[in-house]
Amino acid sequence: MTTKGIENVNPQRFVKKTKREVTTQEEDESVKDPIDEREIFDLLRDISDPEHPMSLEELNVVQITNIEVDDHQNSVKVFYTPTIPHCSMATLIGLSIKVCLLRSLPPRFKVEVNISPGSHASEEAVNKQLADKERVSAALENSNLLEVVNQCIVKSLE
Amino acid sequence: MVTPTSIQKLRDSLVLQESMSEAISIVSQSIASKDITVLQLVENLQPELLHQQAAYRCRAVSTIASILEQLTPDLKGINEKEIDLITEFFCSKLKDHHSIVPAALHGLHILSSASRLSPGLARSIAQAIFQDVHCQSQLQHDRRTIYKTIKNLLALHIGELQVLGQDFVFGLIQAADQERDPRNLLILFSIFPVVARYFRLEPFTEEFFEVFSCYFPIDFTPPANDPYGVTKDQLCEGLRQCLASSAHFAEYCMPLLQEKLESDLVSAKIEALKTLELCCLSYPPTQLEKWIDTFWKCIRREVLINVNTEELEHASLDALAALSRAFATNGEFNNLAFTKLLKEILSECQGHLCEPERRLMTPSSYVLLAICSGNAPACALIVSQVIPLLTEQCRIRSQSAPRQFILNCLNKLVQAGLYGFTEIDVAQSGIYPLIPALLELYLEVLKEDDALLRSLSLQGLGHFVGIGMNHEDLEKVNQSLLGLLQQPLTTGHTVEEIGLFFYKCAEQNESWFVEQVLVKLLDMAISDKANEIFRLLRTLPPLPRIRAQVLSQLMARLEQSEPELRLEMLKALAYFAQHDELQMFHQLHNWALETLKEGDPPVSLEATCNILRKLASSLSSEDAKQFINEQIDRYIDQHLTSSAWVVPIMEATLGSLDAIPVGQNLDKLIKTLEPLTVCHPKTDVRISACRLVAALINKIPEGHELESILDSLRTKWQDPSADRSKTVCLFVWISKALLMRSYSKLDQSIQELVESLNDPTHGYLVAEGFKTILCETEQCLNFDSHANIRLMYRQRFFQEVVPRLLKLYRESPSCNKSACFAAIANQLAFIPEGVLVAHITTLIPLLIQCLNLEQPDQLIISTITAFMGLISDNVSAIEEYISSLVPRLLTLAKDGLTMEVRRLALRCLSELRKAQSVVLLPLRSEVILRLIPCLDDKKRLVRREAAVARQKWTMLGQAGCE
Repeated sequence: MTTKGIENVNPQRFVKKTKREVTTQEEDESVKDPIDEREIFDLLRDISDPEHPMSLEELNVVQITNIEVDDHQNSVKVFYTPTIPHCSMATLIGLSIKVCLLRSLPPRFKVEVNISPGSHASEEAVNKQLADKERVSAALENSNLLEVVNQCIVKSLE
Repeated sequence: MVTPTSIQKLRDSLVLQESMSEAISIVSQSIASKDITVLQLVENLQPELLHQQAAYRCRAVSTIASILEQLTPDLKGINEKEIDLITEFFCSKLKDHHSIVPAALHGLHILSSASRLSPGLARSIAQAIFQDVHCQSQLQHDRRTIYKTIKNLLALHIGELQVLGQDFVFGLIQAADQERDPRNLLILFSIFPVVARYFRLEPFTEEFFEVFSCYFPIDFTPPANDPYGVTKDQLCEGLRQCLASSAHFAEYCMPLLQEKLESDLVSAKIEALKTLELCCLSYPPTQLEKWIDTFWKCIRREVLINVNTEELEHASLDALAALSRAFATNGEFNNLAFTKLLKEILSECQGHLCEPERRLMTPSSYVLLAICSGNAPACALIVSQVIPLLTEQCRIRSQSAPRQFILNCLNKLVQAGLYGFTEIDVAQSGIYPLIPALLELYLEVLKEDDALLRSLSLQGLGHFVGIGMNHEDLEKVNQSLLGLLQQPLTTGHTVEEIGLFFYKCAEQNESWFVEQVLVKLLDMAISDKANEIFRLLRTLPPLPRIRAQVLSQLMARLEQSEPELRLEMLKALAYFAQHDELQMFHQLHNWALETLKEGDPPVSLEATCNILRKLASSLSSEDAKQFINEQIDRYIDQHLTSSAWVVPIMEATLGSLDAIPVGQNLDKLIKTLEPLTVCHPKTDVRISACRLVAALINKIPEGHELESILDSLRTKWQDPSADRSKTVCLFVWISKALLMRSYSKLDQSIQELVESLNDPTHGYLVAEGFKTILCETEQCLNFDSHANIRLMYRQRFFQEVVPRLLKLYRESPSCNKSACFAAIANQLAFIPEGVLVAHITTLIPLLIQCLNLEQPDQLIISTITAFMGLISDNVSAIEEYISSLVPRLLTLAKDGLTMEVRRLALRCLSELRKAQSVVLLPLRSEVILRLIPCLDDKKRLVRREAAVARQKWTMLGQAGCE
């Protein structure tokens, strides 16, 4: 994968956010912390890009402002922005985000992963693929794809 | 001729095919003591040596070789002539039946390690081996003997072998060609470089190169449980040395490396780059220049175009640095090819450097830095072109992020320009004319509000201290730093960076620093930035003049300051206070006593005690005795009557001195402290008193006096009417003091400790005391405070106490089980792994039982922490228990009462990924399923751990995660 055909050799990079500070509320046993945008962002920020040794946060692919969470209605929506409009890795990045969320969020949530409107040439097709449960699980049956997805996610766990 | 008895015995056992080791050692001893000669031995063994059956002859030859082996290294008792004959004998045996060859080779190997071979022998051995033995049809072991023989001959008699010239090279090629065993290859890889360096290889250069280059790049995975311990790294390193061993290989090696650089295998590329790095040292520039463009293409692809693992990127940059070093010349560039390439690289990288917000900026700066690192003229060119460019970029950009990238890069280049070379070269590195502009830029940035940019600028300025910055500049910088310190927004990180800068200045020129900076700093220490200033003082180097200045100023101000400021001041004092400060000790001691009042302790008490302790422990024993004699009465009769908070001060001084009160003083002191240890209402005073008594007990010599004190204390802690929760503390501290000094009646104390665990209400408190007993305490009973400490007291305690705890647990069903568990768990963190492993099989099942919702949280936490320690140090020790551990952790993760327990259980589950997959896989589906509820825990911190643990277990055994 690394030897040939990188599409965007020189992408723009961004400065990383600092770690979320632990509040006294979070340390208080009796308070229930709701699942919020920042929590979702923290799950995703360190996933690495399949092309670059940089995180999705550094490339501005995932931004906290593009995440919508409703803890009561059990919905999580993530809009991500590929670095260039014809990026062929877009589906793969979306898949990594989706897989990461499916593994680490409670099953009560309906997880939607979409490309930010207007940021990719084949936006609709990719969104459709990512929304299709069957296709997502079929993709993960493919050991090559699974390997790439896992490699992207594994760095976010260190 | 009479056969000597020893040889007769040898022959007998040879014929009878018995074990011969005894006979062999007798004969070799007789040869060493010159009772018999080797010739006698050979002559007497003639019937066997000439026997019709090869097996007999083989045994005889091998017996002689074994006898020789006993006489190595200098073949004791054998003269030159005999060595000649015996060598000839073994050489001739190579022509004998094939089954005898190994024994003969063994003999020759032994002879080859002797330095006393007469001229010509080494040559004959080599010739005989090359002519009469077909190396590759021998067994692995015998090939190894051949290679070791050659290695020995090369090491000791290389001159003789050189005479053989081409014949030797050819012989070696034939012997070594197609060797497959990694153990043998390791030996060969150490032979080849020697041959390449000292022998004329023509006309076999290419053939010789082929013999080892065919292994490149090494692909070898040692078998599981390999007893020989040959690693891939060793082989790679050996082969690299061979490839780079001679400039004559360049024409074959360069194409080989280029081919591997084009390959798809990352490991092959890395190997090729590392080899290239080494070749650059030995190959002349004339050979390298033909290939430099090709190699740059490959390196450029790895660093600038592809995105790679760090290892490959590092290897690429190292290779580039080595190439640049190979073309380094003292003066100007005189290599056209390199100059042309350098210009090309520079213009490409300059383009990227002008786009600091994009990814390639950083890698291109690495490329330039790599070239700088080896080559002074190239560095001068790069520095003089790139620094102005970056300075300008930094000026025209307004956003913080790109400017951070620029400053980072600029700092590295400045460092390369200033420190890359020796002093003389700095002048040539081209950075001098740029310094004024750089300083101006850094100072401008320093005035801005962005803390990140400011600290980057400070880092840059730090490089100039002592090199490239004159007094005027330095004053200017210091002025702005002092100004910066007074601004309200300057805090935390920036203060630290300023401290680092001042540290460098102070180290460079102490007296200048004291006069110009320190005085002003101390003046500022009364403003509202005083806290920051004191913190900064603590980062300065404790040089004599700085110390004297700070100490005298702070001691003078201590009395007038605000209480909060005092804390910071005391911390600064503690940093600068060193040994031999008797005067300061008395001054501070008096001051501390004066600050005491009835009621709450002064806020500065703890900090003051810390300094007092440090100073007290460094007093000489004479000063200490004098202090004790003067103070005891005053402590007891004056100060204690007005405030109980004098106890911590007494502990800090009396507990740390290199002397103890004696006679009446001791008696009086103990009598006064005794009631405080169990009855005083303030916990801190009580514990402090306990510690002081323990520190004294630890130092009193064994005997009647100690016994009577202990007896009296024992009545205190065994007193049934006293509050048990308070007496336990005294009991624990006294046990610790006795344990550390290996008190002769320790056994009794340990037994009492174990029995008191049974106390249904306070057993758990005693178990917590186990932690106190084993931990390092800062206040007393440590090496600094002259405590009486025997080595390895922790291990001894653990060995003593564990069997008793187990006995208690097993034999008395009514015992306080949770206290028992806790006592074990609390010890684990302090016991070295080696000792722990011996007990692991008995302890782990017990510890697993502690992981139970009914146990107290504290116990669960310390048990999980113990398990995590084991997992990170020695996961294989607990692998067989994982299947019973995991379900318990899962229960705790879901239903643990406190979030600390849930988080730790989850983290422990994540850590278990370190164990072998084979052990974990059967548990995978259960873990993934049972972690689902944890993902919805009400606490965010728990959810985070759950997400990590669940992802790790999900990926277990999947592609891309091993």
